[in-house]
Amino acid sequence: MKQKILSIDNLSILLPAGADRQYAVQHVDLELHAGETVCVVGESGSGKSLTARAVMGLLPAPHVRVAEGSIIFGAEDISKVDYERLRELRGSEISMIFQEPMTALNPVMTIGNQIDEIFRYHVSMSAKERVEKALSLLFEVNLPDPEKIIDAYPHELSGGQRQRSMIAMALALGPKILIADEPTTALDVTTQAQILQLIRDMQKRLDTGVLFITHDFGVVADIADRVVVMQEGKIVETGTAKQVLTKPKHSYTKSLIAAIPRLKPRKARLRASEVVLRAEGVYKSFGSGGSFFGFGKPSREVKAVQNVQLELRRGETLGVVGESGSGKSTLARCVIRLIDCDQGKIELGDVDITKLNRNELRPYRKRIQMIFQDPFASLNPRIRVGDIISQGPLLQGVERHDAVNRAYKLLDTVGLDRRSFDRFPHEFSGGQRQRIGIARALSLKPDILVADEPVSALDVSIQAQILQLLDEIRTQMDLSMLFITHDLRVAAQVCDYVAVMQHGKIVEMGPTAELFVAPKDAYTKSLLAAVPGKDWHFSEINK
Amino acid sequence: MSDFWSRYRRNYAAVFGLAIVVLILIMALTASFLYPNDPFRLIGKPLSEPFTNGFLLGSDSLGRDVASGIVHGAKTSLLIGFVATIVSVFIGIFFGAFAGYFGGRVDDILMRVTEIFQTIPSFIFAILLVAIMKPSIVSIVIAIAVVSWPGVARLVRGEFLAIKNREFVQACHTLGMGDFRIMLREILPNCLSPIIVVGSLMIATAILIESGLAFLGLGDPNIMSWGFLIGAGRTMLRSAWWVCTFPGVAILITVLAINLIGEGLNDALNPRLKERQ
Repeated sequence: MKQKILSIDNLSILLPAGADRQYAVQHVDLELHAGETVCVVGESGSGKSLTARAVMGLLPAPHVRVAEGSIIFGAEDISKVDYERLRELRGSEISMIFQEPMTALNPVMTIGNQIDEIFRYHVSMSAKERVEKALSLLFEVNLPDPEKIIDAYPHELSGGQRQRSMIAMALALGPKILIADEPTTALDVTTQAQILQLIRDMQKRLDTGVLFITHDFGVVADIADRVVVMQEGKIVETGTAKQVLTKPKHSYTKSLIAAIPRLKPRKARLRASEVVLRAEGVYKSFGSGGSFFGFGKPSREVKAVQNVQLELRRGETLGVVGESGSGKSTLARCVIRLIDCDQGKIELGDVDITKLNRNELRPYRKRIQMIFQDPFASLNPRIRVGDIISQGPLLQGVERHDAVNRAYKLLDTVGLDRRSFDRFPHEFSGGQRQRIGIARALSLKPDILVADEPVSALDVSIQAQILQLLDEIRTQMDLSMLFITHDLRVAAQVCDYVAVMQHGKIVEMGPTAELFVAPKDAYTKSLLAAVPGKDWHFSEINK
Repeated sequence: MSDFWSRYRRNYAAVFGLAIVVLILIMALTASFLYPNDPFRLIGKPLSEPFTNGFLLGSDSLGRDVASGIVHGAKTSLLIGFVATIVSVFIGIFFGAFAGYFGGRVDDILMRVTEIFQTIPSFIFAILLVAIMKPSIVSIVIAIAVVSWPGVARLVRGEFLAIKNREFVQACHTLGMGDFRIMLREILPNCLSPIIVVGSLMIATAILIESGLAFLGLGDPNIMSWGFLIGAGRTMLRSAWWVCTFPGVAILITVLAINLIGEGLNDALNPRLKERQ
């Protein structure tokens, strides 16, 4: 075993009075050795991020502070050193990369300037040397054309490039410890795979100890040497990656691992012949810019959806997968006519809804309903749950008494207490809110549900519950579903058919079982190859 | 509601402001009991100093009681402040909601109109309006409302722009809800907090504009107000300081108190902003 560089002993972090628990983190012990990656895994609210922040001395004091325990780095206790010493350590000995590189980088400074700052504050070098060092760093993190990027502002780079720049900055002075707080969560899968690879390479070269915070066991399987599982501020299990992933001991770890959607395509079902939704030659582009009074042609145009054909049959789930910017959400919004498409037909049964005006459309609205991504934005905070669910039927002319009854029944269906009827959305957790959203979508007794990333904002255990609920409802009510997701593992689990989108076009479409086992398109192959933890999943499937 | 009050109560200055405004309100409502006489009546020796000749705060050049004027004037000042603010908030919500919700051409046109109003210096515009319409309570209220709605319109437009793309509004579209219902039932309740805060501060501004107009002789000549008192005393500022000073202090205290309330409302309605400090 290599040299121990960080040891956290019996660390407890106190939360301000009035929080839902007294300690954010309680009696945490953790060790990190040179060249080792320790993954701290847990769901939201488990205290994993605060633990990492405590190591950096970044707790939001005075409300949240270390109550007891020590964080030993070298010979000193970081939790007790003064601010000046902390400043010396940060960036040079311990550095950090964050989840959202766009907010972690200063938007008004060039990348070169931001890297330069680190050298200016920590070491004495001439200006010329600093520029050379910055360039070589950008080169090392495999950024294309470092001469150009050094003068670029953060908004000019892609998400992956920004995260690479962040890593270049974090590793500029060859720190002993790198803390990575969900560094790939905001990135697409293919970018995520590259960034994980980069972190591994850099770590090998510099012999850095990496403390990696994540909620994704797939990422853990790809990168971790040792794993620490946290639940509600306490460590419930530690062990080598292999131990924890294959033979978890604690029941919480077991349930977490069981909840992860497997990249195992669901069995094909018999396809019904009735087509409930058909999209043909759909185009949609967005323009921006224009003149003083809004007249004139838009100056910039983004082709979000190009020539898309889809067919959804009764009772089946059609997945639309793709990375951010692939146009999958735009397509969903076109299908449900939240936005009008520029060209093409969208047929509900045998009616083309793109030609209808708002009043003509109203009777068709109830046949196709939507479930949204963000459970916190999709419910009006000022309206009671009961009204949220019953307002749809009321608008469609159902009697109040019947609408209310229907809302109560739907609360049962989605597994919520009937007393929820009179409460406001803020009293519910993310998963419960998503259930309310589902009840609202079902309130009009639709034939088709359009689900736009319905589980991507949820923790995995909640995710599994919601996916199961959707599956039950689909069978019970004989619904057809258009399921938009970026997560191939989720798609594998719920979809009968999958369409892969890239740059607004569908590049490949087919039954899930076939497409996942034998992808034809190069892009589909690269997506599948990038799924985190796929080796782990596949080895399990083969067993 | 009790939640709101407990957060408001934490800001002592705001509670103090509220107490002052309540006191002034009581004073205005009981004016006819405190000083049953018409404040315009000449009831004693002109230019008496405070605490002489039976005048609490002295008398002006015609022998009118300054204290009586302040008490009766409070009614006018508060009334004009409230009514003008309500009118301008309504105009502002109307413009802002339509511009923000419909966007595009509607937004362009409504916002250009708003900007035209914003480019004219508001006090001079108010003077012009009152001068054209003849000074009266109604014309003063209209003038103040006309010059102060653009701020509200901008605010409401911003809120509508932000909220109209939230998913819960999209959900209402998919349920087949009409535009007006969405604007009124779904979006507007979510932007009431900033409107209330801005509105409370506008009352203070409205009182200042009204006093300014009255000071220039553009107040309603038949109604006692603080601005009128100051206007009446301004030529004797050096010989009879009390005629201008006490109404001025009344305006100062009222405006200050209302601003404190606005601040407190802001903290209480947007608790997250406060915690960030």
